[in-house]
Amino acid sequence: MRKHVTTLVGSCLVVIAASATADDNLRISGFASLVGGTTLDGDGYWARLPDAAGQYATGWDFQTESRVGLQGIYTIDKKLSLTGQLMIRGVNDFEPQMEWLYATYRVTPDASVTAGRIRLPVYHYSDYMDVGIAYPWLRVPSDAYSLALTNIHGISFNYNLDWDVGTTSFKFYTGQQHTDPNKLITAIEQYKTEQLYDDSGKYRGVRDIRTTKDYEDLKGIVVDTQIDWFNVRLSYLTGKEKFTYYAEGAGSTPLFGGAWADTRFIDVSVSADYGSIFAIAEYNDYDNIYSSWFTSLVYRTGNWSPYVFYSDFKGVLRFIAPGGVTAGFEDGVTGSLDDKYHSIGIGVRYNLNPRTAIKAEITDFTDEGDAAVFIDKDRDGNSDATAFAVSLDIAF
Amino acid sequence: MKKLNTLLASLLLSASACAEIAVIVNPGNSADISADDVKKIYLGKISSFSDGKDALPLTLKEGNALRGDFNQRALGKDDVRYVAYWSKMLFTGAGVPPKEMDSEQAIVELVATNPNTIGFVDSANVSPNVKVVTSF
Repeated sequence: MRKHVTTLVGSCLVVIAASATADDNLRISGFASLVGGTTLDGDGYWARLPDAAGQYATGWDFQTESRVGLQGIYTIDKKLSLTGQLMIRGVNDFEPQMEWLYATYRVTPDASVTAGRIRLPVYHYSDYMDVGIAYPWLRVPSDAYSLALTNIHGISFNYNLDWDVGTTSFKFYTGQQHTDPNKLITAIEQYKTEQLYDDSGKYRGVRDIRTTKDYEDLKGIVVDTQIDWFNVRLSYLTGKEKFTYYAEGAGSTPLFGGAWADTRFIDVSVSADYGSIFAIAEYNDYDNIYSSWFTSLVYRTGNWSPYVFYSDFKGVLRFIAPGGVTAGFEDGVTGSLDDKYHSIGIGVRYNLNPRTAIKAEITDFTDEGDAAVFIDKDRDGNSDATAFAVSLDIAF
Repeated sequence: MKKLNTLLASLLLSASACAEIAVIVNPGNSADISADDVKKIYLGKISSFSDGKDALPLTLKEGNALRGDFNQRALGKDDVRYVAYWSKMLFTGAGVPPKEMDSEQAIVELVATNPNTIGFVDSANVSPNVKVVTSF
C-alpha cells in the first residue's frame, strides 16, 4: 500500500512538473543533497538532525542524510498563494512526506499571514537547513541544532520593515505539534541508556523503546535585522510540552513522563558576510534542558570556500527514571547521566556552477559527558568519533 | 583564427566589464528609486516602490554576462551567492526570485507596457519608451 502511495505521489509530481511550464501561476522548484559519510575513528558518528538522520556506524553510508525537496508555489491571485514542499529523505527510506503545506495571504506588500503546516523558525538556518546549496557547510553544525521539533501546525504573521539603513523582518507565530514517535529523542534515549550487548559483551543494537513529544500553545517571535553585510537574528519561543517514554512492548502505558511542562527556547545569531569572509556565531538556550552554540569562519576564494567551525552542546536536564539509573556509568553525585560534547569541523565547498556544489568535511566529535551519545562498544559512556563526509548539493 | 577569437573574446569581455547598466522602469512610474532601493527590490527585501505600488523585478537568464555584472555591481553578489541567496528565499517561502527574461529586448518591451516592472539593460539598449532611474 505504502509503495502504491509513493508511486502515486511520484506520478503526481511528474504531472505537476510537466504542467508547470504551461501554467504561469504554478512555480515548481527543488533542491537535493546526496551525502555520503563514514567514520574514520570511533564506534560511529551521528549528526542527529533531522529525524535522527546522519548515523554513520559501519562503512560508507549514502542514505541517512541524502534528501530531495520539491516545492510548488501556486499563486491563486495577487494576494493569495499556496505553498507545498515535499521532502524525500534517506532517513525515512525515501518515503515522500509533505514537509510544509501553507497558504499565504499578502495583507500589504510588506505584511503577510501564513497558515498551515510550517517550519518552526527558531534557528538561523531552521527554514533552509535542508537546502545544502544555500549554506557553506556540509551540514549546519548539528550540535547547536538539537531541537526535537521541526515543523508545526499554526499561523504566522510576517512583517518587513525597511528603515533605510537596513531592513528588519518580524515574524510572530503560534501553533502546535504532536510527534509520535519523536525519532530524534527516541534515538538519543536508545543510545544513552538502552544499548544492548550479548553475553560476550559484543554490541548488538538498541532496545526498542518509543518516546513521544507533544507541543502546544507555542508562541514565538523572530526579529531578523540586516544592515548591509551585518545580520543579527533574535528568536524567542514559549509554550508547553509533554515528553513520554514507553518501554518495549508496553503499549500505551508509559514508563515515565506524560506530564505537561512549560517550556522556553531562545536563540541569538550574529553574522557578517563581508567580501570574501563569512563569519557567524549562534547560541541557544532551551530552558532547563540544554544550551548549545556554534561559531564558524568561511573564506571564499574563487569557487573554493574552505571553512572551520566549532560547535558545543551542554545538557542541563538531569532526568532520573523511577527505580534509578541502571546504565552503569552514572554520575556519582546526582545519579543521572549528563550530556556534554563538542565538535570541530574542517571542510571545503567547491562550486561546480551556481546551482551545483560539492563539499567535503572532517568532523571531530568529542564526548565530554557521562552519557553515551552514539554507539559505545566499550560501554564507558565515551563516544568520541571522527567522521568524514562528502556531498553533492543542487538547486533546480 | 584562434588568436582572433581570443582577441574578440577578450574585447567582448572588457566591453561587458565597462558597459554601463541602466535600471529602467515604465515612464508612468513616478516613484523615487535609489540604487539602494534597486538592491532591496532585487533581493526581495522590499516588494513595492516608494509610492506603494507593487514592484516586479526582471532579470536575464542565468549565465548571461550582463546579469552577472548587474548582480555583482548592484547587489554585491556573484552568481553563486545570488543563487544561494534566492534558494534560501524561495525554499523558505520568503519570496520568489526576479522573473527571468530571454533578452534585454524582452525586458525593454515588458517595462514599456507594465508600470509595475523594473528591469536593467546595457545603457546602449535603452529605448525612449522606458525611463532610466539609476545606473551601475
